[in-house]
Amino acid sequence: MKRFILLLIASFWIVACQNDIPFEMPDKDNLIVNACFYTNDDIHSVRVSVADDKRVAPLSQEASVKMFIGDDLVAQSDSVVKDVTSETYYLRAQIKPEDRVKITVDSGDFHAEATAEAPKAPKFSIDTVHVSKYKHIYLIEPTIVVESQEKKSFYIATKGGLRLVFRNNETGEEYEKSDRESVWINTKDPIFKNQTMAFSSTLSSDLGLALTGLNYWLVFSDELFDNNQYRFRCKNINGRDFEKEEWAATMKKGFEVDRGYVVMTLGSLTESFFRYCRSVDDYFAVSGDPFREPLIVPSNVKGGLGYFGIVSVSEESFEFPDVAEATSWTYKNRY
Amino acid sequence: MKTIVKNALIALLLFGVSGELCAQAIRVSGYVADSRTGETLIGAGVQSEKAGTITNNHGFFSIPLTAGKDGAISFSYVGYETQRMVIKAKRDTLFTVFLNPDASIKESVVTAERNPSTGAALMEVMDIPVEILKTTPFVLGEPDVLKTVQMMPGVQFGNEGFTGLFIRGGGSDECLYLMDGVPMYNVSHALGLFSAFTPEAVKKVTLYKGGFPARFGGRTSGVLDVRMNDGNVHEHHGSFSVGMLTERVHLEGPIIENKLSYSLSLRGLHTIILTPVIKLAGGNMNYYYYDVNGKLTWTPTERDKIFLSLYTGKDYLDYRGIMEMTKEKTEEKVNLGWGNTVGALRWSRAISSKVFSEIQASYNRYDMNSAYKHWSLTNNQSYEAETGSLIGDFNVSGDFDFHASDRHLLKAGAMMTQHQFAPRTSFYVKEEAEGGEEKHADVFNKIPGKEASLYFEDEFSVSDRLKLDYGIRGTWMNSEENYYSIEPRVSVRADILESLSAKLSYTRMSQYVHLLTSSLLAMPTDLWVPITKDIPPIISDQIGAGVLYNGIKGWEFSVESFYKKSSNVIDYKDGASYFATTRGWEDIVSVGNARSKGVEFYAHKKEGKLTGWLSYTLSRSDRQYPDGSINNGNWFPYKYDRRHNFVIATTYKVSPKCDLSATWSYTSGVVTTAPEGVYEVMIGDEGNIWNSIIPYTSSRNNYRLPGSHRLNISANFSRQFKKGSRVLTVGVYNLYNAMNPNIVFVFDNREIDAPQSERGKVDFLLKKLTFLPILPSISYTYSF
Repeated sequence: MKRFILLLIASFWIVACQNDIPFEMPDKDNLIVNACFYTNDDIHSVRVSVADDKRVAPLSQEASVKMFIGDDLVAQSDSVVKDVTSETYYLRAQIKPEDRVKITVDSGDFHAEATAEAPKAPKFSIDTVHVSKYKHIYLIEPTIVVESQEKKSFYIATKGGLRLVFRNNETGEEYEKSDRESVWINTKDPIFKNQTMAFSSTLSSDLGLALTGLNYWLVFSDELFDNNQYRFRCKNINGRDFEKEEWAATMKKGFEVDRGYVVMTLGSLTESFFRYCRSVDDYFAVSGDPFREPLIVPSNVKGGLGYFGIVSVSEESFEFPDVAEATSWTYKNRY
Repeated sequence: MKTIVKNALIALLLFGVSGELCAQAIRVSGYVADSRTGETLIGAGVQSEKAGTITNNHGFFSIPLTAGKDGAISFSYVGYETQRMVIKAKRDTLFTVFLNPDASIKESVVTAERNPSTGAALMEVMDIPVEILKTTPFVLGEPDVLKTVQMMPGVQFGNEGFTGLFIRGGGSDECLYLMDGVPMYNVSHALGLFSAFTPEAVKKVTLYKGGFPARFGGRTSGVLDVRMNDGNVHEHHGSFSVGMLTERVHLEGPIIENKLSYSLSLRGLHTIILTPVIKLAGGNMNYYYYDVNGKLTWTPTERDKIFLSLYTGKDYLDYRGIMEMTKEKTEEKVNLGWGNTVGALRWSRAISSKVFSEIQASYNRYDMNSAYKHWSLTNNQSYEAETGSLIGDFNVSGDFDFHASDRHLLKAGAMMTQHQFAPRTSFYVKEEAEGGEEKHADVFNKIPGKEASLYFEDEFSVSDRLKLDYGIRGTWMNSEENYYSIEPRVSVRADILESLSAKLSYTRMSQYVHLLTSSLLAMPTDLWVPITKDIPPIISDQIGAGVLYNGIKGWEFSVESFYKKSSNVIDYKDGASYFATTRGWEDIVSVGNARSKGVEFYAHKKEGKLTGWLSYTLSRSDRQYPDGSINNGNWFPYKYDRRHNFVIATTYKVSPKCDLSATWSYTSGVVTTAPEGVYEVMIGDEGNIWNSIIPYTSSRNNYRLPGSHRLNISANFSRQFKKGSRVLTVGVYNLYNAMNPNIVFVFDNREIDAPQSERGKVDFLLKKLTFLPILPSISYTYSF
């Protein structure tokens, strides 16, 4: 449709001329700094690159990256990994909710800094869990109750949806399968109102469902969490795939697919970080659509561009309940 | 609330007419009309020794005289001989005055006229002479009402060469378009290239930019009051025009002489040029538009007139084609249609020499439908999208003029409208490949609305040098929620010197419908949406001030300024796309504030062989959406913010058979959102951040394009025959081929499948499309 409308407009009158407007972006170099810290981690990464109007590239001279909590220097970069466009610096420090954290980046003439506040961690509990199974697919539906805080004081995220941890009954060893599952959430739930979802809306929201991919977060405004119960449906564990994974052959010995526990993680973001996440997600959702409205992806880095945000994380877990095999279901008739 | 309105009306009445009603005078009243056609003249000046007035929209006047004494009255109208009469009457008298066209001045006084109202209406109100509307060609030699109005100070065009009035920083939906008093929604043809008003059928066009009288309501930025011909009551006449794009036929005449007349105008697009051009562009397309404008005017008695008007206009476009790309072959089909149908029945009556009434019932239907279907012939996937907007308004209104005294003209009225809104978006996807899926979404809201309003105003001549128009309008609308608005209106005009006047005005306006427009280009597919419980009405406050000087013979100069503040304007949120949304329109719009301010300079030469005007507007218009969904909640320039707008329009009368005209305009470039740098965004978890480079922009509309300017020239060659006359018009639009942008967008020129080594490369371009380069034109009109 969009392509057609453009074609239509362009061909409609006798001569429609297309050409480029002389336009040049400022040719000054910008330091780009991106970082997202989690309160449940003690290793944090800061991604740094330099951009002019032609390309984005790693720094020519290694940077000194420092991290302050309040006025105290708590960490300095101790390792760096380079890729085609940037380099990632690692810092070791523990951040607590409500800490005010500053990072500084210095490289040659460049100096950039950014400050973020760790919000309060969300409080939630798992009320009930319903699991159904059809062939090798499990549908896990925990119902959670999130304690409402002051409006817009925090934003809720589910990191990677639900993490399923397999327990080896013989050794007691646990194997966390956190990078394989996906979460399906019914977009007809009230949590989807007012465009409060950020990440992952691009992938399949047209289906009436949203999908978290590998390491995405689903981010919701706390305006939705009003002490009512919301149910997350997690299509999880492809047992057949799990069994085929050769690399896990030794590890999975003694594991049972449907034995273990599930860890549910929620994080809270500040409002400005939420807006950043949403605008980035929106950018990819509508990229290539000439009729989309412009998007402003904010920056909070002084002396450069980029964003620094902190997610305060809470976790709850529940045992994997006994499951009866269903005769059939698909996500289509489930939702 | 009712009590407040009631008390206010009583107070205004008492204040307004006290001490005046008992004056010993009779009144003479009647109509002023053209002697050849019987067409009533709107805004004709009527001046007695004691007072002055102008005729209303029906050509009616009422003026006081002293009973039993000779009283001289003069009647004047631009392009007509002034007529003086001495009347000796003992009681109230009603008659019709016929004015003769004055050939000696007809051709030299053709520029825009200030409304010569005896009230405070002066400045902020402009009469656009019909001569200009009918003879000034624009795109491809087609005269156009809205494009002529766009040349007035304080009026911006949205997109180069297109219709739509953006008055004092408002959007195109904020202008009230009235056709014989009936509001219209979309007034454009050909995606906005032409307006819906057929020039031959137009009798009078008045533009209000501020200082709105209380009788107008429902829009917040401007009023374009277009009055159509009643039809010649003596003889049959007509004209036939052929231009580069359209044919126009106009017929008018008596059915019963002096009693019943008709006026009929037809206009249609011919496709002699258009179809081959579209074929050349590779399209398999069919497009047409037409409009029909008919009016019957019945004069059963000297006091009564009954009008039956019908307008219907429609645009229709369909396209079907196959597109082959590298990996995919697709078939696409598009249907797009939109149009207005307006029917109105009006009864005007001079109840007495002091009271004039008009009762009107009308129906207005606006209908837009667009459907798009796309089949992938390669992978059996199909996609359908449909959008639509249907509005049906049934309206009943009554308006009364009461000439309470020689100092007070009171006006009051009421209106009720039953709205039916049905904005619709839907889409359907079907994938027939293995593991395929179906998706469907249909967002269809049928929203009924009821609207009522009541107004009162007084045109009060405080003294010979001080005029005051004041009034109040109360409106109510129910559309999911009840909304009320009380709108005070005040204008004061002081004649400081004989040739120098000053004016100050304040108005509050409200608007109960919104137009959702893409920031890229206004399209007929834009959705008209009503207020709802989440989308309140626009409320706008405007103050205006100005001075007018006409001390040099044949010249007029004015300077006006304004400041306007509006709340509850709406816009699409950042990143929202109009097409194929699965969400309802309410979910993708944001409610915010608007402000605009400006100064307008205007000088025009009204007499002589060389006539014309020069206007310059310096203005600024900004918007803000506090919920942060647009531009992070910060103020930003509105998409039609044009700082400078300069117009020179001239006509030179070479001989009675030939005149030349030229128009040059310059306007600041449109604002757009362009990259200021590049940005590698963070998405995902630590260690898995996407390596995605996107353009960085600090704010919405951060880049102003170079200004737009163009020169249009034309020449009219007239020739008189025994039974008619012809005018041959030749012209060139955009003579020096300025490539002014119509659409501008940021284009990401990077390869999608670029190799790893190219990942950091940046290549953003600013692309523009120009629709209207140099366009010569010729048209022929034969009148009989």
